[in-house]
Amino acid sequence: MIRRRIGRAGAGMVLTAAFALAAPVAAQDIAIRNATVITIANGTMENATVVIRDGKIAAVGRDVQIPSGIRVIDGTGRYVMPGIIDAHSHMAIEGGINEGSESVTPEVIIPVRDDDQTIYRALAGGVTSALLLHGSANTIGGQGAVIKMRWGQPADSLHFEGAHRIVKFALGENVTRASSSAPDSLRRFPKSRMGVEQTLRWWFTQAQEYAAEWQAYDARRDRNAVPPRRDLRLEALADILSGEIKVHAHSYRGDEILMLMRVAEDFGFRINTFQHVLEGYKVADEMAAHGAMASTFADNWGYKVEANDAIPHNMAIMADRGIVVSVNSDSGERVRRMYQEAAIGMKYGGMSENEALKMITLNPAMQLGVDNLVGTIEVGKQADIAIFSAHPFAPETHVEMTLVDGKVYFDRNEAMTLRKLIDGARSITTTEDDR
Amino acid sequence: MMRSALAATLVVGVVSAVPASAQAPPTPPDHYALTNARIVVAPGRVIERGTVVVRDGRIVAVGERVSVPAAAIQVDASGHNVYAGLIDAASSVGLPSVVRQGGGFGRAADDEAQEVMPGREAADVWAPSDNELAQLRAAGVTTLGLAFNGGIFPGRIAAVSTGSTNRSPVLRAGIAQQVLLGRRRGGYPGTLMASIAYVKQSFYDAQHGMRARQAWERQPSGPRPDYSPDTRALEPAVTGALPVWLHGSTERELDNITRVASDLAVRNFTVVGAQEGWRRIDLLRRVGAPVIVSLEFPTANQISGRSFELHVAPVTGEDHAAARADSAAVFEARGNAGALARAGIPIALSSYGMNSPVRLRAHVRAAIDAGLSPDDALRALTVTPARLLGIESVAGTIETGKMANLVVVRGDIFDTDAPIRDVFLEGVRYQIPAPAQQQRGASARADAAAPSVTGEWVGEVDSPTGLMQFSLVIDGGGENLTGRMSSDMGSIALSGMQSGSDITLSGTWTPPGGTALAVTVTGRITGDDLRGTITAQGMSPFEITARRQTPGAAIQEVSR
Repeated sequence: MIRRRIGRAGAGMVLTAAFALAAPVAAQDIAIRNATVITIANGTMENATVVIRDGKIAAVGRDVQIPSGIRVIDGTGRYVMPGIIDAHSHMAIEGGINEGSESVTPEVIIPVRDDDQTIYRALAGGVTSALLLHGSANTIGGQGAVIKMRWGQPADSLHFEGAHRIVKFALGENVTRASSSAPDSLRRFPKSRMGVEQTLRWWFTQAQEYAAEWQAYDARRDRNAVPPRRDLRLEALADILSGEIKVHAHSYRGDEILMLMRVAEDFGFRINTFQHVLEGYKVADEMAAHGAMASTFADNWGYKVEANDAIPHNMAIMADRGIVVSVNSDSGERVRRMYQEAAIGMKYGGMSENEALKMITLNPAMQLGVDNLVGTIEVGKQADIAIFSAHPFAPETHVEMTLVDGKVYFDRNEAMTLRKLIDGARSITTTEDDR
Repeated sequence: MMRSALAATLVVGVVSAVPASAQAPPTPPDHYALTNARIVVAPGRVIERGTVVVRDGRIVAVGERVSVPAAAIQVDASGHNVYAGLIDAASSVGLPSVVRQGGGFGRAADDEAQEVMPGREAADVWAPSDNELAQLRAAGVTTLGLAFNGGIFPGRIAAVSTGSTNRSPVLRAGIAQQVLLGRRRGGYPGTLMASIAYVKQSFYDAQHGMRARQAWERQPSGPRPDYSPDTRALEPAVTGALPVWLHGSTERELDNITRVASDLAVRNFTVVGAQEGWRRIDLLRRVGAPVIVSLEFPTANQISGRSFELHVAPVTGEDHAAARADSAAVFEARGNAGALARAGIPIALSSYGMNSPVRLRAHVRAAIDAGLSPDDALRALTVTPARLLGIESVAGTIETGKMANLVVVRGDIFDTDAPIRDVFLEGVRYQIPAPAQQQRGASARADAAAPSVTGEWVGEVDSPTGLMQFSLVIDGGGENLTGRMSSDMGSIALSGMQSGSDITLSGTWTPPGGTALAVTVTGRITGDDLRGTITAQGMSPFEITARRQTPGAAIQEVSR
């Protein structure tokens, strides 16, 4: 018994070490030299150098001088690309992701938590940013959060400054609670796709009236007048109408995608990005005309009725029709290997390598409103960077290092050291137990 | 804090003794002189050998050379310490429970009312049993701050006496408005994010309701505003006339609740809970609010950040247990009150959230062992809670004019082995049975060995998509707990440990066609009721409640 406790204490020590390693190194200027640099914006450069100063990219190219006194990372044989951006994630959310009680709840704002280990796993997959979304139980769900993977920092400091305010809409089976086990009497409106459209129209009509009420109040400039009741829900809907909050809409079928674009156009706003959008290939021209972008799965298929018409060529067809397409994880597992998901675009539909890579870098950055800050390796952009052991589409590749704001938040060497420590402790524990 | 009209709500009985009327039952004697006592007047102020004289519920003399009035009953306290009665700053004893009590699918009609009743006075619904009061007195607790155990706007704080004399036990009502980022069962808000929005909206509505009413009163020809009792009840909290008690335990709960307070410009507030206050000392210093610390200690795996460690550890029963058994984390959590006090944050201690509030003294002892100074502990159970409850003029120290609430202990009050001999409540003497006699009482049972958790438990998971029924069969005890959880989602084999009334069980669940997920069930047993959470890897915890169906039975099924 006592011996076992020693084993446990050993494990505790390793865990403490794990925490210590989780803390990122202090901010310092870094140069990555002699690497293959996939810039996304300006092609791929071999034997190139990237210089990072004050968290931003200061220089990129083959003839770049490395300033003295800064940390140099040897990039020989390695591939450097912009940090991967996941446009659909449910990681790091506190206290439930579905406010399923009512169908329209845009006033709720996702509270970020900092201790979800998925953040670390995402870093290990080269991911530096993600859009955290409300679930899909509501026609109009909550406001999401765009975060950077600043693992080890407090929750408040994970927010990506400058990103869009984003609200999640949802259509189809999930909002109508088609697979709910609750008795029918407890299921709420809307129960059909028709009801979803009417829910949208009813609420946006309310929001128009609310906005008009406030406009009239503001126009009167009467100090003694009682201001209208402030309603956080209608206020958020009014912000959607004005374009202040961007819409990301969970969707599957072509008909419902067309429906939502019609509703939005009737009310004078646009759908920023359709999420999942597995039948996007059927309505790609209409989506392009509307100005919608698309964030989809690479080859997820048939997991429910409305996902039966999915095809792996969806990404390539939509891109070919002029839509800005990203591929997302929607999963704490896939977030570790989004580069493989992007590669599927080359196999099915023949996307170019750069177009495929854009689906996890510049394109999701556009959908999140951060393309002026990240998404490519260009001078002046924030130094969110992934360093791969081989080309990111190579089967044997893995992430060596992930930098956010020019700081190393994941280093495979350290992770391997950590794993050895754990394995060591595990063997001690096992040995003691065996006696 | 007392300058407002609320001071007027001090019950008259406290300010001036009510003369016994002819019809009243005979009053017990309340004229005593405690002699030869070591008197702890206030934290750090001790009279090594002196006398306390009490009369008509008040302390009338304290000192080394106080003459004993002839009419007073003399109580020899040589070899004993006399302390001011302990004040449990936030207790839910005797209040209706706002947290889930089992029940069927959906929700009962009155559930909504339970969670959102901002006008409800704790004083008005307080119904403790005589046994509960006797146990509290036996633990040296003479005064309680009454706080509901959950909800969103469950009601208002009161200060009450634990004595059952002829006087009303209520010292003060309407002390503060409780605000929690809680969930409503089966309705909006069902998540933390919605709760934040709901609390804000409720404050805006109160503000608007007030403006609309004032405008109508000025100009009755204008639109007549609707009357909503809940909205109306929140007005004093919104204007700052009534202090707000903001609840938050974990570090991010503290972040969230203080951010909501800041967004709503709530300044007159006290933080309640703060079980992870030591992880947010800078924040608590910055907001400058006093903190009522819950002495319900989190288990190691409930501490923020521990899930990371659990997931770094290999996902096997043994190693989960290893990670959980990290006593350093538990010790750190117990050192919470000490860390806050050392940081200069005014603290009061409380049983808030504790399963057995009568064990407060034992938990104070544990906090002292983990670094809280005894003087700070005493201050946090007397002077500071008296101030936070607005009763500092009548309670908290042994001074002339204050209520004669006294505890006579043979030894140090925080030495759990030191017997409490007498408790005086407004001058009425309660002789506390010796420990041997107590063994037969309920308080002794609370201290007894951990309850058996074996048997089949049937209950529900409260997930955002609705309630899901499950059955949980538990076998074993101590560090060798095994179980099997069965539901529509399949069956999960579990292993874990029991610590007192708390259980933790872990296992892996493989959804059809999916990858294995680590699942952790934590819970607390009260008799045949189990309440806790289930957490699947990468997801937020869902609340579970269950009731034991067949104690000890159906266990063979597990071992087969």
